[in-house]
Amino acid sequence: MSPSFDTPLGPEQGDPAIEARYQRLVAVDPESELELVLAGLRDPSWRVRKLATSLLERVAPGPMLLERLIGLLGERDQTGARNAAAAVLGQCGAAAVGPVVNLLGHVDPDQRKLAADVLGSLGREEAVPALLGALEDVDANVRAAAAEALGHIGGGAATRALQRLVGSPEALLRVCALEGLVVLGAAVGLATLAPLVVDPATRRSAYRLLGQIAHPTAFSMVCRGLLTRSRDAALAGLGSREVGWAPEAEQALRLTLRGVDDLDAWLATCLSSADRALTLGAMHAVVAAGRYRLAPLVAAAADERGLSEFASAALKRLGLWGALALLEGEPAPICALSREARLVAAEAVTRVGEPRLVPALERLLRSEDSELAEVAVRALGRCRTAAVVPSLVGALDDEGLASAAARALVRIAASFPDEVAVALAACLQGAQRPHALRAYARVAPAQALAEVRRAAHASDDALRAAAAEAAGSLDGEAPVELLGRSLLDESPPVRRAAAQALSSVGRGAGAALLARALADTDPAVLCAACESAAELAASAHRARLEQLAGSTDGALACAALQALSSLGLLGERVLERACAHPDAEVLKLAVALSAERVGGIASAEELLTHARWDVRVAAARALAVAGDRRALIRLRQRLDAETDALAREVMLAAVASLDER
Amino acid sequence: MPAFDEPRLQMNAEQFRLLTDVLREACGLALREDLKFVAERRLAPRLEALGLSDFSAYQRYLRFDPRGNDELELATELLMPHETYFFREPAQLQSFVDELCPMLHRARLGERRLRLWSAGCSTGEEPYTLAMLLDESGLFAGWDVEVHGTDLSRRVLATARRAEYGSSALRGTSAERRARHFEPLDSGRVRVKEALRSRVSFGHLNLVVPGACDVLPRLDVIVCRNVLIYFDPLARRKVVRALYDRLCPGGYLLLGHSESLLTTSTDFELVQLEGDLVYRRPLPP
Repeated sequence: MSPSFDTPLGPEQGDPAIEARYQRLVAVDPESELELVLAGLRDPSWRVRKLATSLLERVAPGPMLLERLIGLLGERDQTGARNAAAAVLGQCGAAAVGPVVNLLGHVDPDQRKLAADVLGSLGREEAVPALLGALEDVDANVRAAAAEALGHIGGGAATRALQRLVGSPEALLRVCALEGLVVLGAAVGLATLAPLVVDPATRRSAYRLLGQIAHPTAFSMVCRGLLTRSRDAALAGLGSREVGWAPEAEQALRLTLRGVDDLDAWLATCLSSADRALTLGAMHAVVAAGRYRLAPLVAAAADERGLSEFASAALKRLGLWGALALLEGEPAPICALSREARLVAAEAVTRVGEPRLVPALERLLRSEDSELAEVAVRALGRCRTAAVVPSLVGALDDEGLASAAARALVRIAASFPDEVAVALAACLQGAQRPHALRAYARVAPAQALAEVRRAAHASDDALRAAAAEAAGSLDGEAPVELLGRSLLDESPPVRRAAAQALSSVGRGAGAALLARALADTDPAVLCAACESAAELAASAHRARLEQLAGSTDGALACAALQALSSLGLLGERVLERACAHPDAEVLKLAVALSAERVGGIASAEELLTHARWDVRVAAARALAVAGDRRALIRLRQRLDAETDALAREVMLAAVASLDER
Repeated sequence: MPAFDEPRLQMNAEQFRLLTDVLREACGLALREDLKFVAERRLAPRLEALGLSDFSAYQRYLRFDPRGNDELELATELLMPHETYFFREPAQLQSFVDELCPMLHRARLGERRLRLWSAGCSTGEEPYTLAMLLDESGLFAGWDVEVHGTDLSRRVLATARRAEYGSSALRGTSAERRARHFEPLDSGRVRVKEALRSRVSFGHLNLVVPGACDVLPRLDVIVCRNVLIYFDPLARRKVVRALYDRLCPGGYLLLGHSESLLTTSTDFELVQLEGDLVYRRPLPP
């Protein structure tokens, strides 16, 4: 259907009379002033018509409104109004199908065509029989509109009709049918498609259908097309397939592309094309032919057309050489990419993990572009060579990079522990840094004690917190003393780090310090203490955990409930209280934990009517596992009232699960 | 699924919805349904960095962890990267220079004071561009001119304050303008010249927090390009109202070239310029 508002800017917009009509319409209630809004559809200004359309889309489509809109479709001298009415009708849902189907019998072919267009927009399968009839209309435009509409609606009957139409003697119908089948992803016989590839009118659509067929013959037909003057159509055919080719097909494609003289220039043009299928086809070709130098253009094609995923996957296939193409040069091509493209390229570079990338990545690290420097750090951490250690240790000096650099060093230490330990020790001998300290304790716990002790006395809170965290990685008795001191620190982040580290110092020593951590007043420290209590199997603290499970702080209540559950100490009273908690996360956890308990089903049933969709989902899930016949009845009742699509889906699954039982 | 990708950490529909709920509640941002795969890909390194096992844990981290707010800013930046570079949308900027600047000059000639705000300034290219254009216009020499840039992400603001940029940010900047407004750095990058930097200030601001914009002065021009598209309808209405409240009567709001206030606000007057369509806070009757 042709758009009704295809002129976003125009001289009319400064016109005060139009502005006055627009403002008047803005203020109306469409339900009570329907006539005024309907009159707006006839307004000469596209802005006013657009506003009227959006207002009418909010009105329930009763018989009177439908009749008036259909009446407007018949006003031949009011093109804007007709298109606007068609746009509104296309949003009216099932109620509009009957009246619009009736219009297919109108004497005026223009109205019959508009009716077919609207039925296509409505997308309702009940319109298919009428549209099948319209394929026999005496007017060619009506027949074509009916074919297009069937392509929008889909379903068995529509697909079969379109498949038949592919053999129509009318070129317009053949094209409409092919395009509809492309959208529906439906199959057409190769023998049928072969002549259509030759016909200029149907070539592009035929190639797109061929591209969707997972059959060697179809694939070789597309490949042959790449060597003809219609190669763009064939390449778009390759791009119509969004799932992978078999290795042997890709091999055939590679061999075919060898026969293209100007391959790089052609693919570069297609990668920059506005035609999505052509760009995607070019990505397939770049990968199959291994044209690594085009990697920056593949990344650049990642934009709002939904090609980012494909660009990302293509760059992954281009591997090391593709990554080098993104990184080598001054400035590196990755620096010139848009932000979206840069994210895609960065991901590709990061996952290569090859020592040969190191010089290029080190240049990127020095580029003073903080975003790309972080990419370089992450990528260096995967390069499996000790040569990256000095660069990564250097990156610890940069506050924005330190966290990623420390993680990268820990990763490298899995293969080169001595090199990393020596470099970190040297680094810490100067000014201590939190991330370097944590990494050092993890990489060389036996040697890190002195540095951790020094950091524990620092005036900087972040460094003392790092010391507490690092203490958890150390061996022997020393960490216990360090953690004990950290639990008395005046800074909550330090106490939190210590509470978190308790679990790693063993049951005996850790449990002794746990009481102090569980007596803290800071919720974040208490959460960490709850987690440690679970890991230390500290059953003796049941009473305190039960008390914390009743906290109004959602995070703390969840942590305590989880701890009690892990310890096997979760009592009915605590659960009952949790099922009435004001925080949705607590409710979800409680309903999940209580599913298989006496009374748990009742709580879940009650939560089926909770205001939040995610709580209702959690309740339905619990009932699916533990529900009974009564729960099935409640679920069915609730299903009728459920308006959230996701919650409905889970409830339906729960009903099916209980039904089976 | 793309043709040649590897399996990675998946986000199910429920996890995606919870993530969108968190973003909507915190910043009014609406994450489109079709961005689930993008979200998976971009947030996977964050899960790795934070040591989290799945996206449910990530959602809880955002809500409950004391560092959740910082992470939320980072997630927002990753999921909704604000594409920006110097002199982006040149036709609109030309209209700003040729038509709006002379009008502003006439309107503020008495006070010789001008205040502009780039709302959602990302890494700073837009507010610096505005300062450059005012400088090029020659109309405001000797005036008290300030451009404010605000963003939800502290990380991008740090970049904006440094005012150092590479080739990507300069892809719409002519050689002449590079020479006029930037000084070269050793690394092949450039820095905005001090005279312009001193006219631009930056701050952290969540547009949907009630009253958050009140710390800004009354403004003559607000530029909010390609920002409102990320908000859900309710948040968009609130933000537009807040922008209206910060404008001086007669002040202008500039949106992205494909954006409009249709069905969002009726407070503004629509002003048709030769090369752009802008919104104006009406003068008192």
